[in-house]
Amino acid sequence: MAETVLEIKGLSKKYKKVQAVSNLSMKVEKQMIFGLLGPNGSGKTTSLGMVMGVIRPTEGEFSWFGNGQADENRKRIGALLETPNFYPYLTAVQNLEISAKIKGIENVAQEIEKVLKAVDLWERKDSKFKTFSLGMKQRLAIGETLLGDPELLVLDEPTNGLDPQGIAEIRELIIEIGKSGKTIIIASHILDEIQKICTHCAILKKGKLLQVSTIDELIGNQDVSLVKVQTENMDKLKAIIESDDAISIYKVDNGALILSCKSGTKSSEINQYFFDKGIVLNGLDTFQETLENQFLEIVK
Amino acid sequence: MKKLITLEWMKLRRLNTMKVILLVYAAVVPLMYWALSYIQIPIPTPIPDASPAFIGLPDSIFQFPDVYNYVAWVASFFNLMVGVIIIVFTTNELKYKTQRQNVIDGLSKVEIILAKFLVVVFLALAVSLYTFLVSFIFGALNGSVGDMFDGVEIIGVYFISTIGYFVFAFFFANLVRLPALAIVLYLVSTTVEGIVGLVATSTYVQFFPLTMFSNLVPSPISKLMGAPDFMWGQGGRVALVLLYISILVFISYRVIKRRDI
Repeated sequence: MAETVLEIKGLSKKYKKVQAVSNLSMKVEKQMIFGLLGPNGSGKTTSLGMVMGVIRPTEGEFSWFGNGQADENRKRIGALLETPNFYPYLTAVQNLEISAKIKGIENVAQEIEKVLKAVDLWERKDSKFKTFSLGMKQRLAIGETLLGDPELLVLDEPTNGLDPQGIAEIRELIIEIGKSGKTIIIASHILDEIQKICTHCAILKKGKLLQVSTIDELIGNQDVSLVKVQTENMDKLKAIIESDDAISIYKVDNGALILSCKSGTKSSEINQYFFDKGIVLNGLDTFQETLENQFLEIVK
Repeated sequence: MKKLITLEWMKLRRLNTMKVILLVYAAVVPLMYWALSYIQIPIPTPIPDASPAFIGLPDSIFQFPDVYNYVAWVASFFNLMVGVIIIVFTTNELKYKTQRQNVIDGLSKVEIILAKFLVVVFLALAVSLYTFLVSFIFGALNGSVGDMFDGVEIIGVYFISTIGYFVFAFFFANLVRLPALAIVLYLVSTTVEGIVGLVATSTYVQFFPLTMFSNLVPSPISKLMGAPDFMWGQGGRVALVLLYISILVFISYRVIKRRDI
């Protein structure tokens, strides 16, 4: 049975008139790569802030590693919340030394070299933080989370401010870390990334949890093939589909129909099938459900 | 504890603001004190048209045991500068959100307050030792080295008084959070209470925290002008100052604990 690394029960945060997070309850288990999704202002960062000890919950409780809300728990977690926070007048190395000191990490110099190389900042290790570009600041923050090889990472918008190459590198880094057995919690808007990296996700809207599921469940049943078809005579098409058990309508997409059929069905078979029934298709394509589509549907 | 001191030292040792202010402090204190030897106070003469007469400050201010008292008193004014270091250092952590990151990395709020308090004590110690050194040198240059440790207790009391001023600065920094505002409020309140302390006639003014801090090191001017003695003895007043310091630290802790950072 999988170990629970984070359990949240009834967590809420109210700021004067705004209910930022409302009665959030969920569990994250070991080795999950858990995405926290939601529109802007849905309470992702506030929730992460509460479990990381920087925001006081109005109600509710949480527990890391079955050890409650103790401060030492956070030493086992590498976290990046919202913005990279470092001392501008200190260099990259000096800043990381401070984090290492707080976490009680051994072999400090070695660890720092390892993480700076992992995020491609080794050449700038002796530059003061205030001289860094936005992308470098973000990469230093990600490097900091890796210090001491923690069991768990909490990343709030990790690819914020990175160029496409940086985004790809960080994505690869996260996937690698996930494969090495670590647990990762990621909050992000970039659903394409989440779809590629995560195993599970929770969707928030206006402070409330809408649903928790695996990525596979959201992207659609893997036992079927999806095809997108278009024709001039839509009514005749629908009549044919209704009378056939093997094919059903998955959904409508801007005047085209997404059909669900037995797994392994080829587009050419579909093409032949409808042609034989007197329908000429003017659009035929395979279709893959995306997290983005599902997400937009859920938060509507 | 050792971890916290090392941690704060890692942050402080490269803070140029601190280095500059401490250098200025180190130069100004002995300089000002030495300048005192040139002060001439005019005294009224009995004969109307005789040339004006002046009197310098008594030589005892440069000799043991009084030299410790007087140097400490002069230095305590410049302690405001070092108090500003504490305000800048504390508000920086809020401005750069590094306090937030420290907590995320695993530091508890208790450790945050304790670490900053240790910085306060460390700076107060540095300042007190320096004041001792300056007094000692003046005293040694101007009198017999035989009684060189006479009157040195006042430095101990001065140390406590300095902690009081610095904790007050820390308290303001945490409450107000904006460096400029905190510095202004700190300077204004210390100056105002100082003046009130000198001038007020009500005996209860003696018990206000800042007045207590400054009165631990008796002002030579008050002595010379024959001001009334304090209500409590030195021991009692030190105890009360320690109580005030504890209260300020406790309130600062509560503020940090409850705040979303």
